[in-house]
Amino acid sequence: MATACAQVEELLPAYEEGDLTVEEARRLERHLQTCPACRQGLADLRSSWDLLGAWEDLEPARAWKQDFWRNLGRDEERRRQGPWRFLQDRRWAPVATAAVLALGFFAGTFWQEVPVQPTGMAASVVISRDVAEIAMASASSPETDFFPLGEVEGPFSAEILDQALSSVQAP
Amino acid sequence: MDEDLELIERFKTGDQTAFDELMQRHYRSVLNLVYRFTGATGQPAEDLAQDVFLRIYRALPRFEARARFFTYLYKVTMNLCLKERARWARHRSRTVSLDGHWDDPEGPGPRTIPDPAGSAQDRFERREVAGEVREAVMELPEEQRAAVILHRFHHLSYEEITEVLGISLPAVKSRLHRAKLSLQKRLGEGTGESLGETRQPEAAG
Repeated sequence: MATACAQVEELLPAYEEGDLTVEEARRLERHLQTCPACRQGLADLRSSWDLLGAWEDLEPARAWKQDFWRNLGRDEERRRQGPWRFLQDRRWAPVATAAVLALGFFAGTFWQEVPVQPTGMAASVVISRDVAEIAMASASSPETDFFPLGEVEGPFSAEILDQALSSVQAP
Repeated sequence: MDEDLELIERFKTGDQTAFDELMQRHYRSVLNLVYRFTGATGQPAEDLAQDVFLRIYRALPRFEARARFFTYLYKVTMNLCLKERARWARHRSRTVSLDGHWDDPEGPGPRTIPDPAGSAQDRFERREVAGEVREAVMELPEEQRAAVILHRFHHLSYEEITEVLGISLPAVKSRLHRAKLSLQKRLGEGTGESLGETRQPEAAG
């Protein structure tokens, strides 16, 4: 039956490799004796496997060994230079320059837009400038409500103003 | 002691000529494993084979002789081939095509050694057959192709194939079994009357 042939077809590679049990092999051989199509199948299996030998080897390039040692030398050089080796490559110079300029531009823009809390010397300058402005306001209108030293006399205010202004000019 | 292991021991003591000899023994094999598995020829195939030996050169000082060297070498080669194929597939449009032969100045077909005894017609026919075989093998699913190449062209046993591919013995047998049936249908002389279609009903044994 065709079903038996389909089963035999499935078993042929294992038969060829000697992977069938003795009983399985005997049954298959009995079938082959009576079935030309399955015999053809077995012949095809063998011939197709043999035919693979027609696929010839690729011949190595003549200088493959010299190529290897040269490639190894290059590889070792790259390893010596480390992960930042690309910075030494002049081809990257325009890109690196553009990147640094772009970074500077964006950092500058960002810096202008974000309010910064002054610290250290800058803070003292700002505070001194504030004191100067307050002192000037006080001098011009001693009665102003927001100034705690509002009742202080004019000459005293002028002294504070001088000190404050001198600190602004020469912090 | 295994000759490969002797060379490896010499290399570990700083003898560079030992690595040279090791390559001499295996370069052709690695190149052809690359060629048949990826379909690459010419410079891409050479580059891949060279890369295999660069990796081996780096890893060899830590190599322990628990496995045979050539199974280790083939394993590294197969892994690198799979990695490269994935990369080629990603850049398929602007690099090497997976079907091979594009960068080969000799054009389509492998660089074969013409048989000096054969006529031009013989050589032509051999090349035609070789092309058909190549196509048939390249059309196999990747896992079947790997098993076929290692078994048929590199003469590895089932057990050695399990080491190289990291799969079980039944898996190796199953892959070879499927591959043989496919090749039988593709390359067998009786392909016109394929099995199961022209069986004689009375032939059931």
